Amino acid sequence: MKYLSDYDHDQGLVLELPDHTDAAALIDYLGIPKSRVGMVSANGQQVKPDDILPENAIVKVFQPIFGG
Amino acid sequence: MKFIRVNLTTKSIDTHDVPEEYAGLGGRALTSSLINNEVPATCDPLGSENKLVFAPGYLSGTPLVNTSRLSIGAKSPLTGGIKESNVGGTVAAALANLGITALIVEGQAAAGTYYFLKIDGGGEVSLLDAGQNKGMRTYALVEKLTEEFGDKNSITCIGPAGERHLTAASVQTTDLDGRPCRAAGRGGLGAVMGSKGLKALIVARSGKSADALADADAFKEAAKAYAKAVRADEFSGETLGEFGSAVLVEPINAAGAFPTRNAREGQFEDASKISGENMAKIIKARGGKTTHKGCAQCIIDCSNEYVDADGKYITSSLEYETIWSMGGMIGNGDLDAIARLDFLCDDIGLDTISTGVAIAVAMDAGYRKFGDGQAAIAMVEEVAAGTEMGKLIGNGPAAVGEHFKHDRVPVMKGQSMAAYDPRAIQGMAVTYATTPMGGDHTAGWVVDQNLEAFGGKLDRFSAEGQVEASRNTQIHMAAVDSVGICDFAQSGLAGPEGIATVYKMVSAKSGKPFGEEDWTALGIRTLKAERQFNRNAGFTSKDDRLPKMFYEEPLPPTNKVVIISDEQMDSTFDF
Repeated sequence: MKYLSDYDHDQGLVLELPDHTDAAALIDYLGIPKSRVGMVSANGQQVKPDDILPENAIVKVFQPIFGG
Repeated sequence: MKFIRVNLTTKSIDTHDVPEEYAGLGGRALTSSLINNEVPATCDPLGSENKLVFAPGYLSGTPLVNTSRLSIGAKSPLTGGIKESNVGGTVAAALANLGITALIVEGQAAAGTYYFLKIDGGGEVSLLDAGQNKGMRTYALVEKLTEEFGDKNSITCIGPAGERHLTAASVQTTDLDGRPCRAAGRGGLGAVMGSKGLKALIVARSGKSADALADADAFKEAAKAYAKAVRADEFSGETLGEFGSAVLVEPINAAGAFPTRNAREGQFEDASKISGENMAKIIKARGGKTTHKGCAQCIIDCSNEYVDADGKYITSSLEYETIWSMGGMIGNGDLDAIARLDFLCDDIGLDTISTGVAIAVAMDAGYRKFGDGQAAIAMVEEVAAGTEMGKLIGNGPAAVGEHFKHDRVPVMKGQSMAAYDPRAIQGMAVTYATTPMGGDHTAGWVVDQNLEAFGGKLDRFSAEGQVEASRNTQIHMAAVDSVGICDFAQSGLAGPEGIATVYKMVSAKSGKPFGEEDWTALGIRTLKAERQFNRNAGFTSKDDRLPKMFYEEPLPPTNKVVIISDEQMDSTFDF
C-alpha cells in the first residue's frame, strides 16, 4: 500500500465513509490508481466496483496477480 | 551441447553431441520429443523400457535471469501418459553450465540396488554405489552427500516414497541453501527414478562450459531489458518477494474458487489464517525469512523460510499450492501444521498437491475428520513407515478413492486437481481436462484471464472463449517450459514488447531467426508429441473429461457446475 503514507499492514485502516459508498469510491478515496487494483473483497467476498460496501465491512484490496 | 546417456542395466555412460533432430530444443520440448520418440507408449512406466530425461531449458545457463528451470520427462506411473515435471533450485543452471543439454537415464538397475550419478566440474560422469543410503530421507541424504562431496554440488534425489515406487513420489532438488526443498512434484517421477535404481544426481555447480551464444552482445541487451521488466512489475518485483505465491490464497478464496474439504465448497472460513499476509507476518515475528532466494539467478526471491515459535527451521519454501492442499482442501487452518506437512513431503519425497488431495479424499470418505492437522501429519509419516494406509496415501487420491470406494475423487487422467476449482473458473476446467499432463494448473493457467478483477476479459462462469484461452495458454506454456523461464518471471515476457525480447534471446543464442510463429510452433510441436504419446498409450477423448462431481455438484458460494461440453473439450486441440 505504497500510495498511503504511514500505512501499517498489520493494523490496516479504519475509515468512516458516507453511506452507500461503493468499492470504486473507496479506491478513489484512498488515491490508488485503478490499474494497481486487482480485486476488492468485502467480508471475504469479491465485490465489483459498483457494489455498495456493507456497514462495518472488512475490505481487502488486492494488487493484480499472476500465478501458479 | 551434449547428451549424456546412462544405462543402469549395463552401467554404460555415453556422451555425444546433441543429435540433429533435437538441435535447438531444450526443456519440455526436448523431453517430450525424446520420450515420444524413444519410449514405447505401452511400456511399464516402472520397467526398463521407460526413460527418465533431465533437460534444462534452452535459455538455462545463459545470462538471463530466472532460468534455472529443469524439465524432467518420462512415462508417468500415475497417469499412464507422458509427463513433464518442472523444478527450480540450482540443478538446471548447473547442468547447462556444464554444456549438458540432456541427461537420459535408461534401463534399470537390479531390484533393490541404488546408484548415485555424479557429474564433476569437468563434466566427467560416474556411477557410484548408493546402497548404504537406501531408505534415507532427503534431508539426511543431502547432509551426508554434502559431508562427503562438499557443498558446491546440486543434489537431485528421491526419498523413501520414490524407492517404494509410490505414484505420488516426487523428485526433490536442492535450493541455493542446499536444502532438498524444491520439488518436481507432479506425475510420480520419483517412482520412475526409484525403479531405475537412481537415488540421486550430484552435479557440480562450477561448470564454465555453457553453450556459446551466437551473439552475446545482443543477448545481454535483451536479457537486461527482460530483467528490468520483471523488476518493474509490481507482482514479480515486490509482491511475490514479500508474500510468496501464498499471496494467492485470499483473492482466490474471495472469488469462491478455493477448493475446500475435498472440493465441497469454494471458500474456506479460515483462509485468512493461512493467507500469504498472515504467513509473512508469522515468519517475520518469529525470525524466519521472506524475500528469500531459492533458485540460481533469480531476481524475484519468492521463497521463504518458515520457522516455529522458537525460531527453529520447519520448511522452505511454503507455497500457495501446498497451503491449499494441506490447508483448505483438508479443512485445516493451522499454518504450523501445514508447514510441517510441507517439510514431511519434501523429506519423504512426495508431491504436496497429490498428498494433500489424497488426505482430503480419505477424510471425505470418513477415515479421519476434516481439519485434523495432526491426523494428516500421521498419515504422511505412514508413507515413510510403509504401512498399508501409507502406501495408499503415497499413491495419491485415485488410489485412496478406490480403496474406500469413494465417489468424490478430483483427479484428471489419474492426477489430482490443483488449487483452483473449475466450477468457479470454467477455463481451468478445460485445462485440467485436456492437458496431456493430467490435472495440472501450470500447463494452462487461465485464472487471470477469467477474473475481471485481474484484467480478465472472460466471464468465468461462461463457456465462451474458455477453450481458446486454454488452448493458447497451453501452447504458450509449453514454449515457456521449453526455454526454461520461471513461471513467475513471465512479467518479463508480457505484452508484444516483452515476448519480443524472448524471441531476440533465442535467436541470439542459436544464431537463427526466431519470431512469433516459431514460438507458437515450439509449443504446438511439444503438445503434438505429448498427445501422440498419450494416444499410443491408449488415451482417447474420454480421458479429456472431469470427474462427475464437477458437472453435478454446484460449488458454494457461487453455486455453479462445469458447463464446458464434451464437444468443446474435444475442440481444444485443433492442430
